[in-house]
Amino acid sequence: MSITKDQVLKTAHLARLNLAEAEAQKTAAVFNKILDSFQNLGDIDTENVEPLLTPHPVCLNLREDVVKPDLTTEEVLQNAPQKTGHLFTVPPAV
Amino acid sequence: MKIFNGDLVDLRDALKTGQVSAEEVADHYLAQIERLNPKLNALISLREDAITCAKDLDKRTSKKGLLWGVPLGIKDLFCTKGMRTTAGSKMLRDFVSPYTATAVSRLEAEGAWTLGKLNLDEFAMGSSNETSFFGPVHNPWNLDRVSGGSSGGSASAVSAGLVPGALGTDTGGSIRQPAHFCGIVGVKPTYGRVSRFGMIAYASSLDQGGPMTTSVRDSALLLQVMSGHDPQDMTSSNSTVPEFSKMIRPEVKSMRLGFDPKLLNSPLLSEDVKRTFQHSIESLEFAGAELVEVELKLIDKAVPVYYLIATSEASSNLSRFDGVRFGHRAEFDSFSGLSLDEFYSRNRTEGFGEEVRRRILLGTFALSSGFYDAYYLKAAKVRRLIQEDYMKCFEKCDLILSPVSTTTAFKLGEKTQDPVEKYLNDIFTVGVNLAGLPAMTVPYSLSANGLPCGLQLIAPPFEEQRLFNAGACLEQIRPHQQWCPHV
Repeated sequence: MSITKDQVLKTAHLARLNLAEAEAQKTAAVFNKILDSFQNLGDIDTENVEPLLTPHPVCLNLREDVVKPDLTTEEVLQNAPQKTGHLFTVPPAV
Repeated sequence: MKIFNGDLVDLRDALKTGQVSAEEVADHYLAQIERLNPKLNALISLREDAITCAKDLDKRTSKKGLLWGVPLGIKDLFCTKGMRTTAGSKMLRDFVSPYTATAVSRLEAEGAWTLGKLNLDEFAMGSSNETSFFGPVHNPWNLDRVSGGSSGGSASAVSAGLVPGALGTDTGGSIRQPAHFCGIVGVKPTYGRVSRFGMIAYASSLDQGGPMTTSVRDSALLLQVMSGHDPQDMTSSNSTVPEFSKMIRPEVKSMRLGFDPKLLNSPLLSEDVKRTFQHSIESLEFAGAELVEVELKLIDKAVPVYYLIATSEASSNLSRFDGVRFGHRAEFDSFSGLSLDEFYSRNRTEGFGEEVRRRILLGTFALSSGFYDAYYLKAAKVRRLIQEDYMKCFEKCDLILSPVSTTTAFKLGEKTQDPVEKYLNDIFTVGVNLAGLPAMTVPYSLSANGLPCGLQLIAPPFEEQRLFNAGACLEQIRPHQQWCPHV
């Protein structure tokens, strides 16, 4: 399949990245080249094959639901680009 | 001083016996960094209180710990409390973590200390250390050549003697390939061996932190200390951690070493790499190993599978960088009329470099509605077949041998134009991450143009000891520790 500039722009919106039209055109060309090289995956029979999402079984070690000391408010805020008191300052969300 | 010509274990022994003080060690490496880092650009941050830290160590009466007094370089992808962690990105250029990564804490608990944070491809995305916001890293063997990536700063720093050992991370070859390009040892552990808590995530089912050193025994010691289950990382394994460093048997007499003969004539390989691969197999056979032919049937599928899965996972992991709680925030005259979408988009577009944006886009596309089944899901199914391919080989052999990369270190700027061509160089390393296996680069030879060339050893899950044993044997055959780049 061939990816269009519009598909790239839609993907960019999903990823919350800005992309100028010219850059989207260039990116579509790069994507098509990358995805062309992936076409031979379609030749492999994966009927009845379970996807592998993590290489080895994961140990789910649960802990007691007990409050423990964690980062202080100051530590959490120390890298805030902008803050107001104990709050992160952002554009209005509603 | 002679001890600085030895390895990390030699340095540790000299520190513990008082042959050298922590302050003398700090002075030595600070002088090396001052002299050579301007040419290499291996460091992003240098610890400001290095001498004070060393003097404090010298005041202590007890010298406990397997790594007492040893300074280390830490790839700038591991969070270090109180010291900047940038991920090689404008997005985090001023970020100071409130906590330290578990892998680093464990090393510190055994007496090691962080001397500096090392350069890397931005967010570990790259294989030449040319995508860093802080500039490219140079190879100590030839300053016009790349160090490899993404742990390029770690490889360059260890190779040039700026630090006695370093940490790197490996998602698709990012420890092993720069180790090969710079002539040092690099180990990617079994997935789950080392905690990923505090290691900024690129692809969570592929990432592993590991050691980069001038000798196999140094890597064995660092890995032993770093490894083990961590309640803060649910993917870290409960598997017992052997005392790797005490159990090294440098011999291959009882080992069956597998190799795929079609690689020997592969048109992908440069002549140097082909010669090294051929010669190293013969050397190991001469040393008593049984060489067994195996077939890696799906090796040519590993690159597309890796790039679909890694970029998909990255698109999710990097969605946290939005300029809200930390990281780059663009300049806004006011928030009046500004939507959150525009806010996020400006911050992210300005904060991320081109390669990172490309991989986020590719991953987002592969996961998006209408394409998920054909791309991500298909890749995940082929991933299982790739893992089975390796495990089938291990029915016939104890280790698999392969080249690390298709070439030795290429020139800076040579491969920045065509991402697809660059991705194909990772053919021998990415499959190992997909399958979750441990693997190691051991330096083997210097090419005709004076560049290092290594061999990759791959083991079954949790069998790192086999890597250290065979690697130590290779070191006896080819004592690479005597190599020294003249920077």
